[in-house]
Amino acid sequence: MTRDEFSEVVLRWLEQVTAFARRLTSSAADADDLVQITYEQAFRSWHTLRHPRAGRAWLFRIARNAAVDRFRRESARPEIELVGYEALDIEVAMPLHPVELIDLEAALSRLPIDQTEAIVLCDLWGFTYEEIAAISGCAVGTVRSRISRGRVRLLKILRSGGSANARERRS
Amino acid sequence: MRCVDARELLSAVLDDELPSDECGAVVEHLEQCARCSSEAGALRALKHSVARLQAEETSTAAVRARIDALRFARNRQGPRSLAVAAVATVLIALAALTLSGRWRHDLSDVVAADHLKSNPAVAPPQVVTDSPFRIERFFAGATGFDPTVPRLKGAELLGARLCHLDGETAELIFYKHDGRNISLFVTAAPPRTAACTKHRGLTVCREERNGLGIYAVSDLPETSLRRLLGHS
Repeated sequence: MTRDEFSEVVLRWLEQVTAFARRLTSSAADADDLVQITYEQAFRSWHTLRHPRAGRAWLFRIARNAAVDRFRRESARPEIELVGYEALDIEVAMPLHPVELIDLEAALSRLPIDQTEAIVLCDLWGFTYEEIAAISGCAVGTVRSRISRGRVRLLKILRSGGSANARERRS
Repeated sequence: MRCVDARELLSAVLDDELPSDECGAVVEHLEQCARCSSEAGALRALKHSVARLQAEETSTAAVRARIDALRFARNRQGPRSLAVAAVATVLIALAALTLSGRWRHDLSDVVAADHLKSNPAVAPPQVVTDSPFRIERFFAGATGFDPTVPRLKGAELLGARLCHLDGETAELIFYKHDGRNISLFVTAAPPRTAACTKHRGLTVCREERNGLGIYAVSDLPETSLRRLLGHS
């Protein structure tokens, strides 16, 4: 793959990487920073991407690792408010059915981070379990377990109206 | 198979991530167990709902400019290189759009996502009819090509709606077969190759017909979808 071909591949996924960055950060500005860092790292190591088809998962992995690094750095700075998946700002989306989807976002935010991540990577971006394992740095069996348990838990939260409680707690 | 074992595997079945023998055992159990079958339906609906969350966001101009600079960094020969690169990017993009009218990358994953989001149970058709002629009339003049409604022999035609694929208006036609929904997209951009592949746990068959791109998406097995499209 030439560098021009590489550029074409990674630019194709910019909007999805941006959306993923929004999920990994607490503000639009932080997401912009993360996207920039992701693409800087990608262009620095472009020759390590062996096949264009792996480009999207490769970018997501870089973004995730960069977010984890940043999160760790900021953990050492107590004056900065730490924001994990539990406190994602859900106003970023403009869905077709706002109430229903905000319920879903709120319910997702009540899952353990690793389960939320596996579910959205699978359902929202269509990654295979193998790709999710590569992005998250875990075994395929772990991904399967996270998705299975996460969905069951998500159903329970939605059925119990727990997402509404989550919204109330936030406000 | 016991219910507790089947439920452990439901998500993997839904995502098409289980070997066929294990998958067959779960499907067999679902045919006999109403409660597990109902749970599978709930999980499927949940998957569809998550798929409707926002998967793409437009990046800011500043981020795009920075990425363009990265893209052209290797050609840097002087202090004006970034500005030249930015201008070149815009010109190249405009030229590409003008000449081709569209991005010609594989739309299979996009249509799989749209299938999940545009399920007729969630987003109703704009025209509800089993008449292909009525649907052709509905599409007339709405897209940049002559209305086309492929006949899927053995499938029930439910209706249609307009959609946007790769920034262009395209046809989205809904069918049903064996209780499963089929979304068929007709677009002005034909795929580079004809093939059936798996995306997001769904079967996506793509081909070119009369210069148009045809993308059929369903959770039907590949053999069934191929048969409906007249491949064998």
